[in-house]
Amino acid sequence: MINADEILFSTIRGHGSAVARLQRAIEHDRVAHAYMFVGPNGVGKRRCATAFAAGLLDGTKPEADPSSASSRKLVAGNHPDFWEVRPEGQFIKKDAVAEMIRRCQFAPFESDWKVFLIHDAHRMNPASANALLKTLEEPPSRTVIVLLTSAPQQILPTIHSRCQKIPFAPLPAATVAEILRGQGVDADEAEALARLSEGSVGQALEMDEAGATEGRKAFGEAFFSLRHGKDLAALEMAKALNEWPGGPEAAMELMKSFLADAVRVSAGVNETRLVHRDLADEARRFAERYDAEVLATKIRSVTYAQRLLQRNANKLLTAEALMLDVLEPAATDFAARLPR
Amino acid sequence: MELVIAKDEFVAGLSRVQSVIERRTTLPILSNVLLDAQKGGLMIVGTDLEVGLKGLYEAQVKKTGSITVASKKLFEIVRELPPGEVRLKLEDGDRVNIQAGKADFHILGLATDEYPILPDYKDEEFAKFPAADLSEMLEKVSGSIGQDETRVYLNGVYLETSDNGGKPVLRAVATDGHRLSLCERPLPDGSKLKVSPGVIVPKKGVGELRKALDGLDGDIEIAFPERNLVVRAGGVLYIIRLIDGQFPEYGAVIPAGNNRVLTASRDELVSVLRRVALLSEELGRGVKFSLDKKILELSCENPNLGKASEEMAVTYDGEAFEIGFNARYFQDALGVVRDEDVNLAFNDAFSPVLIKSPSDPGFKAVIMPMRL
Repeated sequence: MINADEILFSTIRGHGSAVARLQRAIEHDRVAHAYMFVGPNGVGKRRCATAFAAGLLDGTKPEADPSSASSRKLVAGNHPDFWEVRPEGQFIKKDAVAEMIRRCQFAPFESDWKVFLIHDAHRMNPASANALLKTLEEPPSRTVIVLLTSAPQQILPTIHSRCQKIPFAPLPAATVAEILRGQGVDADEAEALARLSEGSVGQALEMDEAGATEGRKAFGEAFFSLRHGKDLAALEMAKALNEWPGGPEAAMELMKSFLADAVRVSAGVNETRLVHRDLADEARRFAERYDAEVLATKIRSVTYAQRLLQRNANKLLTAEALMLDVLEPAATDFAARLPR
Repeated sequence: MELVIAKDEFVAGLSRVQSVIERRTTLPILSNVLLDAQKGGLMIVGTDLEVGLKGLYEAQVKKTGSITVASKKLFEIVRELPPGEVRLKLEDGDRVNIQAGKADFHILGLATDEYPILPDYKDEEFAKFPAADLSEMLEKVSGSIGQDETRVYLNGVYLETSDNGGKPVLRAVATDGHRLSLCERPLPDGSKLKVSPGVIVPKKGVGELRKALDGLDGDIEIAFPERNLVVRAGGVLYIIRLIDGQFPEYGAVIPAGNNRVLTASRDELVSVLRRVALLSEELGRGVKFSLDKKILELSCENPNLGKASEEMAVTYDGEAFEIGFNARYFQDALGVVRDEDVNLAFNDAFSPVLIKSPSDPGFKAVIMPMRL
């Protein structure tokens, strides 16, 4: 479903150049056949694509009229010239792309254009990608295909070369915080989430739902007080990871942000640029105990542990192994230390 | 909206749109039927975006207006109503009140403004054409419609008005790249029908149209408002969305200099082909045609099964040569010809054959040979 205010460019925060480019393309009748919106998840790619579609469908206007019949159909999911393709499970299946191509063959039903949106375009399997390629090579008239992706490197270069690329940078933390406050998130929490989410409103909201900020400070203090030899504390912490309200993976994500702060501190980065400004002193003391290079290997260990969890590894055992690894004073190869 | 309509009339109208309204629809509103009470009666509209159906049914309209209602449920309800008159009335909140006898339904509908806008057309755009002719043209070329998802412009019948020796004709062409069928009929005298360049009618639309034309006498009316083919037949309007593409230059494919002409009994050729082709490979269905004076031998060799051959007497006095064809393409082409004898015009072993029907000079089928 599309929210009524998502069809307007004017409600989009940040991404000024992307918005301007798309609106210019509509105004000057220079709309490309295919676009690739590239950027992290949750920064506003879909919203921008929806506003673009709304404008194109509503009489090729740079900004749709929210009260027009076309816009109301779009919001209700009843627009005959708008079609979305999404992954089913892991992949975008070939059938989904074939159905889209079949729809491409007709002239627009009631608008000047027909608009296709492919979500998570990097999830197309090779068969889907090849089917799409043929359509991109000989694009049907009055058709706009928008691919949304956070992992452009996983998309065939032949598809890249046939799409106009529009980059979406992470939003400034202040913008994310502002949007979060607009959605009723408490001001202090919004501030922390904004810095944690690395410029992604979507991720911030997800973290908010997963309760990431609750207990963040206590968790950070406990983490930064870890040192070599404190095995029991580490195992306690593994237990806390395992019981984290948003799941151990989310807790590990938080842990990475602590480690990243430690790296920043040891590299002499100004305290105001830390994610967890309120834990700056703790981070400094932690960083004094470890080399920056060692800290980097620890971030890699956490990432590896997260990947293990995705593959259904035992949660508590993984957390315990990870925490003991983090205690090590020297660089470690976490992956190599695990039984195969 | 308020009206009274005879139950049978309502059922007939609703049952007609059921066929185009798909069960598995992608836009929620497409599973609804549009009821539009106009001065002239009740307009019942259904569409799946590819084929739209619009019919005006006799009703006493007391108040004009329109609403969309879940098509299948409405059909089920109306079918079960007691015989006699049905009273329809639009209530507040997009509800429809349906009354018949003592039965009283209040059905939730959806406002009409979210329904897709079917293309507009003007009465003066319509031109008459004999229903039987169009039906026969579509029947004779349908077998050659392509099915390749990557070449969508072949997945339909190309319709155009053209000129054949100074006489204006309506021509239907279909090809899948391996074979081609063409069928044309003269336009009625003084007809203003004009589609040039032609349009591509998708396979589904062709199917619906053939159903509509089946058994219809007299003339139907055709118009080509932008992006659509509109056919008025039997009191119903069929609106068919056209394929947005370029049909190939088919004229170059039709051989002009094929002068080795063979005449054979159609029935016999079909049955011989059917027998011999039993041994052909599933995929290619290759059958060898060996032509000699007054004799045509069909043969087939399959390394896994064995071989088969059969001779038949034909009228042929050209040179002897051999050529291979996909048996199914031949069967399809011969299947739509109604003559006792058919003409096969060859050039050489690597050129396509032209199949002609003596009783229908407007029909041509071309089949590419295959190497055996």
